[in-house]
Order: sequence, then structure tokens, then C-alpha cells
Amino acid sequence: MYRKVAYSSLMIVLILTLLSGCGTPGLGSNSSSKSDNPITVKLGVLKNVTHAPAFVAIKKGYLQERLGANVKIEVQGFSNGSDFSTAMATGQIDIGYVGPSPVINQYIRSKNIRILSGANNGGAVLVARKGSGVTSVKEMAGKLVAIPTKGSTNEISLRLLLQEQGLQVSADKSGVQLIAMAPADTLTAMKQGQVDAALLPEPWGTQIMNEGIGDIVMDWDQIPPNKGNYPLTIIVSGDGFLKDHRDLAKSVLLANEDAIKFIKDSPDDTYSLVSDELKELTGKGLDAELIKATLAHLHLTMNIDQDALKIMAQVAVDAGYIKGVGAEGLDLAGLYDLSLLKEIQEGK
Amino acid sequence: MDWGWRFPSALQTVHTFYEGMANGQLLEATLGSLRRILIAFVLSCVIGMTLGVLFARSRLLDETFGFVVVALQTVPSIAWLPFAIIWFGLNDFAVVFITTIGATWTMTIASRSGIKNIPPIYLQSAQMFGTGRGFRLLYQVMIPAAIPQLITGMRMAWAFAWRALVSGELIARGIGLGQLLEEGRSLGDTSLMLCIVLVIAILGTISDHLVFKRIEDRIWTQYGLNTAKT
Repeated sequence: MYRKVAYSSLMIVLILTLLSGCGTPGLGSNSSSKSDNPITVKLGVLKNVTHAPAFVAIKKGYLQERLGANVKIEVQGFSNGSDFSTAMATGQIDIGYVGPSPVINQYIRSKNIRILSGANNGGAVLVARKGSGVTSVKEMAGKLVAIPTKGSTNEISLRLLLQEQGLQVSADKSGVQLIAMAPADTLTAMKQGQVDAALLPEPWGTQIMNEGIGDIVMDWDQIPPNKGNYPLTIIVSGDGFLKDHRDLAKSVLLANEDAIKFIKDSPDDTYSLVSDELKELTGKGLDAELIKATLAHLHLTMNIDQDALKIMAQVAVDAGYIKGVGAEGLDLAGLYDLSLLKEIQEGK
Repeated sequence: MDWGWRFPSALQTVHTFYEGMANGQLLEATLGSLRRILIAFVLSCVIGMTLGVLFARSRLLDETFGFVVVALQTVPSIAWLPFAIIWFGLNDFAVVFITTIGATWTMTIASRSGIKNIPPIYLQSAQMFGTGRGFRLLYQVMIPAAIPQLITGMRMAWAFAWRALVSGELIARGIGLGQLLEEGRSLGDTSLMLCIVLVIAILGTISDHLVFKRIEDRIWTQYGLNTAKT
């Protein structure tokens, strides 16, 4: 009996040592890429129209133009920012467009992601299923509300909204229940009456309304923080890629600038480009009318509102998504590398 | 490759465990999962044993539906989840459903062979003592005689149920270990993920060691089947 106890405790000690050994920081990242061969840039995007600058940069050829013929671009589509952030932190994508909150959540843990530039502010709406009885935020108590993923930028907005109205997120009917599902699935779930409301990036909100499944309860320009004027799509990069290929990262930012300009100057030509890229990513294009309605809900900008991001990060802390934060608050200084953006904006 | 943040340290994991217990999130999730698995387990034991007895007693049923059960057993229960979502929605019910399905077939096959393997002389002498061929024979002779096999079946069903439960919870809504695991993944919180894995492992060990193994040992001794020295 004692021998057994001795053996098991020895095993436990052994496993614990092994585990804590793994926990110590490793010896820096590998930088195996060579720059003389054709380089592949792995670009990640989410399959939402809020990522229109990315779609235009790809489809219009700005990206290829800026990166040069020697660079092969590989586009990967994601359904939510969590998957994107995991892929970026593990080096499966180099650079890409995503919402800020999942990036912050990931950065706190892995410290290897940098925010380079903005792309779009706002563009998420609150929709409610017809017959769910939700016509205002207050009426969401006891309802089931969908968000694209746990810790997503949309969830942070939703939590801020609920806070304003004094509602709680809960696991039962006493507050608002949250469920994470891909926006495309939310549309189906709402059709089947399984979800009452959702805070989603466009085009999903407008699409749910157009299909007659639900109504928009709160439009994009009322969604907190800053009444819709908060970063929803930003450009981020892994710090390994940024270190090795600063020039390429800058090219992506320049292509982003081109794309934003194009969308602003000739919105009518944008619709088919966005639809084509979405078709490539999801197998299904979108109606020009729908994209048009959606683009009106975006505020394209390269600037990053760091104060808004700070508010959003604090919500994530309060929700328990970011742990171990002391009284001095979050240290997000290492998250930003806006030097490239500055160079571009100063015309260097 | 930098493994620093990809695998949490023991300290981080213990901290997350403590925090999860302190704010009740982890405890609630564990209780939620246990509640679901217990409902599903009881259901699958009842359904499995009923089917097993029927198959063992009726050759017609055995050769028709019995074959279907063997086929169904090869289907991973998570394969039923898409159906479950459409039938019941993304809720507890769907999870309990696939967990039950995951454990039922194993239980059916174990109880079927348990009853089939009863020495005929038991049944014959029981009938001579006047149990008849009906219900009394079943619960006074057949079930007790098949208990060693039934317990082994339950042990396996329990393990299968856990597998189905966690995979179902990863997708469905509610409060459970699977949902918490998925939340950890969404947030890139590896310490939470490891914490859940450990909780599942510990729960599995406890339930197997302290419940099933004990019952099994006792019954084997009782039935004189325990030849190994303890």
C-alpha cells in the first residue's frame, strides 16, 4: 500500500516537473525563411464584408502590385477572430485582417502579435429574430444571443451594451445567455427559432433582415464603444514576420491604403470585387444591394483608436477572459507597432 | 519553436483551477457535465439492458435488430450531433441524446452476452424451482447471474459516455466542461484547457476506481470469480 502511494506521488511529481519545464519561455522563434527565393505571404481574413478593404486589395490586385511579382499570396478565410488569432500566434498566417478583441486576448498570452494599422471602424449590428419579443436592448433579458466567438469584438460591444442597460450575462434565464457560433450558422439557427438575437458583423445583420428572419434592433452607429466608431477590422502581423519582412508588411499596409481609397472613390465598382472574393472564401457570393447596404455601415480608416481598444480590453478583463491583471491595469504597449503606419501617413 | 505559451506551467494551471473553483465557474461546469452524464448513463443502462435482455431471449430480434445494434455501435456518437441539433436544438437535450446513444449500444451488447453466457443449468434448475419463464426468472436468476458482465458493460458505457459528452458539449450551448474547454480555446487560454483535461481525467479515475472497480471487485469476490491474489 505504502509502496503504491510512493510510486504514484513520484509519478505526480515527475509529471508536474515536466509540465512546469514546458512552461518556461523558449529560446526565441525560428527564422527559417530566406528572402532570395520566392516568398509566400500567408494572409488571413475573416469572411465578413467588414473586411472589404482586404477583399478589394486582393481582387483589385493592389496587394500583388505592392508586394511585387516575386511574392506569392496565399489567402486563408476564417469564420471568427479566435481561430484567426490562434493561427497567427502559431505561425500559420503571417499577416491579416481581424477584429481587435481576439487579438488582445491572444496577445496577453503569447505576446507575439502586433497591431500595425486600422482598416475599418464599426459595422456590427444588433439583430433580433421576428417573434422573439426583442425590440430593445432591455428586452434581451432571459434571451439567447449569438456572437461569432467567445471574446470576439462583437461580444465586447454586446457586453458594453448590456452594462449600459444594467443587464447581466448569465448561464440561465435571469440574464442574457450567450452562444458562440459562426455568423452563417446564426442565420440558420435564427430561422429555426433557436437563437433570439445576435450581435454580428455585416453583412449578416442586413442579410437576416432582408431574408425577413429578423429586424435590426440597434444600427451600427449606436453600437458601443464610441457609437460605432471603434476599430472592428485591423491589420495585425506575427512579430516573427514583422521582424524578417518589415518591407512586405509595409506593402500590405500600402495596399490597404489603396483599397480604402478605391472603395471611397468608386463604391459602385467595389460590390462585385467584394462579392467575388467572398465567393472564393465561402463558395457563395453576395448580392450587390446587400454589399451596398453593408458598406454604408462601415467607416473605413487606417487610424487606430487606442482608447477605444483600452475600453474593450477592460471589458474582456471584467468578463474574466483576461486573467491576472493587477491594479496597474493592462499593459498593451507591446501590442502596437504603428511605426509603419506613421511612415506611410507621413509619405515616406 | 517557442513552446512558452503553448503549454501552460503547472503553476498557471493550479492558479486557473483555484480561480475557477473560487468564482464557481469550474465547479458549475463540472456539476453541469456530471448531471448530463448521469442522466445519459442511467438512460443508456436502462435502454441497453432492456435491449440486451430482449436480444438474448428472442432469436428473431437478435438476428434482425441485434445486427443493427452492432452496426450502430461502430458509428461514433458525435456523428449523430448534426441530427440532434436539428431535432432538439443546440441545447442540453441534444448533448444528453448523443451521450445516451454513445453508451447504449455498448451496454446492449454487454448485457446481451452477459445473459447469453448464463449456464443453461441455472435457468433449468430455476424453472424447476418454479420461477416460470417470465419476469421472475429474469430478475431472480438471469440478472444476478449476468451481473459481472453487466458491471463490465457499465464501466465501458461510462467511458464511452464521457467521450460523447465532451465532444457534444464542445458544440452545444450551456454550462459544462466541454463548453469551458471551447471557451479556453477561443481565448487562447491554454491553462484553462489543460485544467479541463485534468478535471476530466480526475473525474474519470475517481469514478472508475472508487465506484466501478470497487463494485466489480466485490462482485467478483462474491461470485467466486476472483482468482487473482489481492
